[in-house]
Amino acid sequence: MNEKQYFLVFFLVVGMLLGSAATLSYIEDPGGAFSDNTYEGGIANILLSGHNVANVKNYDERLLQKDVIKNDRRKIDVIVLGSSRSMQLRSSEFSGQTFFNHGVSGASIEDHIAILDLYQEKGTIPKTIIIGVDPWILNANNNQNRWTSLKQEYQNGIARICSTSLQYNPDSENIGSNIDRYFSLISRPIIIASIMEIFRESYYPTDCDELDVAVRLKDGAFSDPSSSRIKTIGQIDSSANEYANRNPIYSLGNFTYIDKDSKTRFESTIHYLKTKNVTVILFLPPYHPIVYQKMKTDSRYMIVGEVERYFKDFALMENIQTVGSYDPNLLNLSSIDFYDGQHPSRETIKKIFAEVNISK
Amino acid sequence: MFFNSLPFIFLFLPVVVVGYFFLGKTGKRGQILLTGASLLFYFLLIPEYLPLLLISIIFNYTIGWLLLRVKRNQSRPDQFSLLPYILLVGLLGDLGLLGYYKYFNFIIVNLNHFLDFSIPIQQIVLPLGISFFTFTQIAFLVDTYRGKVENLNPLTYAQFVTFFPHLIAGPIYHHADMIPQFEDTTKCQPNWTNINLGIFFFFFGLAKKVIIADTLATVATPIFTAVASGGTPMFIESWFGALAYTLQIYFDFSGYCDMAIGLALLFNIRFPLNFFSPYRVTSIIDFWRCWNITLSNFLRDYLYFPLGGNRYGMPAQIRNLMITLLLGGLWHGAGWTFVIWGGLHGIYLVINHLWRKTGILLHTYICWIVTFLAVIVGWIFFRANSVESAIKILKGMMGLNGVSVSPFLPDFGLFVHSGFAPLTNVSTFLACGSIIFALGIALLLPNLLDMTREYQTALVKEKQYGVKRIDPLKFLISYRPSIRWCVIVGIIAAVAIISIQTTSEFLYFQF
Repeated sequence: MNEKQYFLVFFLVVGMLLGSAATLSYIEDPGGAFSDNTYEGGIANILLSGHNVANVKNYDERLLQKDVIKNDRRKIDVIVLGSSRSMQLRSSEFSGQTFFNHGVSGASIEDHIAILDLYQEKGTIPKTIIIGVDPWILNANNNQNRWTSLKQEYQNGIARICSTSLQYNPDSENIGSNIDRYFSLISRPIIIASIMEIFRESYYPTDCDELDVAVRLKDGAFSDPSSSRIKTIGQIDSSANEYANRNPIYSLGNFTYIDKDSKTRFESTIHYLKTKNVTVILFLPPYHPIVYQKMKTDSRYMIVGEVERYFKDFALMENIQTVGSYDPNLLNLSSIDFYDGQHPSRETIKKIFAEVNISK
Repeated sequence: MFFNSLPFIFLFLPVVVVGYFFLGKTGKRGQILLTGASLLFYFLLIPEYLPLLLISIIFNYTIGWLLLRVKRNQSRPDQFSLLPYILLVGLLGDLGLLGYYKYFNFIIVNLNHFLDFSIPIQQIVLPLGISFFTFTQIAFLVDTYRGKVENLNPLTYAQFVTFFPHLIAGPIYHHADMIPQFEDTTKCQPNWTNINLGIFFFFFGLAKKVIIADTLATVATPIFTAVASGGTPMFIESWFGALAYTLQIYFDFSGYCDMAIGLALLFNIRFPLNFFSPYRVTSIIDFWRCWNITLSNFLRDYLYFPLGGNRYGMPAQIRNLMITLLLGGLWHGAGWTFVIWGGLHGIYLVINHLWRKTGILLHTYICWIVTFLAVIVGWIFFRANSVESAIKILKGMMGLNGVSVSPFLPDFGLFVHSGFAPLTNVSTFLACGSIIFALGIALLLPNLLDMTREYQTALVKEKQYGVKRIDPLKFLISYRPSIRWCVIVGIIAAVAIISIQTTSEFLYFQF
C-alpha cells in the first residue's frame, strides 16, 4: 500500500464512521436541533390537546416543559415548580383555575429560574406559583446538572432577576450556534442519545389517569406506574430503608452548610416574583418517617431541619404561605402515606393541600 | 479554538495545510501563509494579546539584529563592548514582560502578606504561551550574542516564533534546529509520508487528551476541589486523586506533544523530542531527560551551565541544581506550590546525584517505584491550590485521615464504611478503571516515537533512546502504511473526534 492510498483509505474510514454517526444523529435528532418533531415535542402536543400521555420514560422533562410553555395558548393561573416530590399535585386541588404542574425530577433552583423565564419570555406570568422547595436546592453539592437542558433560559432568567450581577448576552452564544449545531451531530452525547432513541418504546395518548405504566397527565402532574403506587407497608418501608441507607441520601451529600449563592438566587427569585404581584406558596414535601428519622439522627443530614426552619422563617418574613413539612410527624403521616422514601402518595398530597385556599 | 476543538480540526487545519502546499509552490508565499495563519490562530484564542505577541517579536528581532550588526562590523571593534548591554536590554525586556504578566500579582500578594503592605492587586490576564515564546526568544538572543546565529530574516524569524503547533505550550525549540527547516522551500511540497505520520501523531495525541486525560480529570478534579474547599480525603480517595492527576497530566501533556509533532509533520517540519515515556524511567535524573525535555534543556543550557553546572564541586552543583529547579518550578506558575514542586525535584536530583556517587545499585523495579512515588508526591503540590491542601492529601495517602471502605465489606472495626470516596462520591469503578487503563498504556505500550523510530518523526539524539526505562512486556509495535494501521488510526481518530465534548484546555496552556 503506498502512502497516497493509505491517506485515501484513512479518510474513507474516518468519513464512513463519522458520516454514519452524523446521519444517525440527524435522523433521530434527540436534541431537536434540526426539527421541531422531538420526542418531548410530541408529548407536549398530546398534553396540550387535552389528553394524558402513557408510557413516558427516558425523556428530557425540562425540554417537555419548554415545549409545553411555548405552545400552550391558555393563560395559566397556577403553576407548580418542583421535583418529582411535587409532581402528584393536580389541577383538581385548584378547581376553577387553569393549572399546570411543571415538576421535573431532581429540580434545582436553576430549573425554577429557567421555567419562570420561559413564562417571562411569553409575557404571561401565572398569578400563583407553588414552589416545591426540596432541601437540596440549597446544597452546593447536590450534583444536579440536568437543568443545563435549559441553560440559556436559566442564564436569561438569572440575568433578569439579578440584573446587576449577571449580564447575559444571548447573541454571543448564537454566533457559533449554527456551526455548533452541525458539529453536535458528531458529539458523543448526541450519538449515544440517538442510539437510545432507536430502542425507546413509544408513548401513546390515553384518557386514563392511572395505568400499569407511567402517565404524564394533561395538567402536567405525574401518575406513577401501578408497581410504584400499589405496595404493601412492608414494601414501602423496605424501599424507604434502602433510600435512607444510600450514601449519600439523594442529592444531600456533603450538605454541611446552606449554600449562600443558592440562597441568594432563591431569595432574589421570590423578591422578583413579589414585584410582579405573584402569589408564592412554598411547599415542603414530606419524607417517609424512616428517612426523616435518619435525617434527625445522622449528623450528615441534620441540616435538613435547619433548611426547613430557614424556608419557614423566610416565608414568615416575606409574608408567604408555606404548606407541608419535611417532617412527616408534623403532618401525622405514616408509611402508608408514601410510595417510597421520598415520594408522598397522591392521597397525601391531596390531604396536605386540602386546606390551601387560592382565590381566583 | 484549541487543537482539541472541532473548528480547528475541520476548518482551520485543512484550510491552512491545503493553502500552504498550494501557495508553497511559489517560494515564500507558504511561509507568509503559515505566519499569517499562526497569528490568526493566536488571535482566535486570545485577541487582546495579539499586539503583545507582535511587540515581543519586533522587540526581540530588533535586539537580535543589533547584536548581529555590531558583531559583523569588524571595522568598529570598539563597539563590541556594547554587546553585553544590548543583550541585557533584550533580556530585561523579555523577563520584564514575563515578570509583569506572570509574577506581578504574586509579588504584590507576598509583599502585602509578609511586609504588611497594602498594594492593590492588578487585574492581569496571563497571555497564552507567553512563557514559551519568551523563552524561545531569550535562547535566540543569547545564542546570537554567543555568535551561534549568522543571519536573520524577519519573515523566518516571525515564523520561527509564532509557528502555531508550538506557540501556546511548546516545545521550546532552538533556532539552530528550526530556522534551516523554515527556510527550506522544498518543505512546501506535500510529502505523503509526513502527512500520514502527522495524522497518526495528531489523532493518537487527540485520543490521549480527550479520551484518557479528560476522563482522569473527572476523578482528580472533584477530589482536589473538595480538598481546596476544606474537605479531608481519606486513604483510598487521596490515592485516587493523586494517581488520577499524575496520569491526567501525563496524558494531557503527552497528547499535546504528540499533536504538536503531528501538526508540524503535516508541514514537513520536525520538532525536537519533548516527551519520552517519563513514567517508565528508573531515576529522577532520567525523568528530567524524558519530561518536558525542551524546557529541561533550556534550563540546563541557559541557567544551570552559566551558574557553573557541575564544574566546581558537589556543593556548587547542589546549589546550582536547587536554583535551577526552584526557578523551573516558578516558571510553571506564580505560587508557592510550584516553588515547592521545583524545590522537591531539586532535592530529588541532589539525592540522585549523591546516590550515584555511592555506586550502590538497586534492582531496576525498586528504582522505578521510588522514582514514581517521588514524582507523584511532586504532582500533589503541583496540582493543589495551597500547601495546606497538598499536605492534607499526603496525610490521606499515608492513612492519617483514616480509611473508608465500601459499606458492603465486613466490619472489622478498623475502617469507616462510608464508601471508597466519601468526600466526593467519585465512582470507584471509574477511578480504578481509568487509573489502571491509563497506567497500563503508560507503562506497557511503546510510545509513538518508538513505534515510528525508522521515520525519525522528531529531532531525537540517539542517546535519548538509550535512557534506562522499564519495559515489562517488551511489546514491539511498528507503524507501517498498511490497511491494518489505516483502520486502527481511522477508528481512533473517529472515536477521539466524537469524544470532544466541550473544549477542555491543555494543562500546559496555563504555564
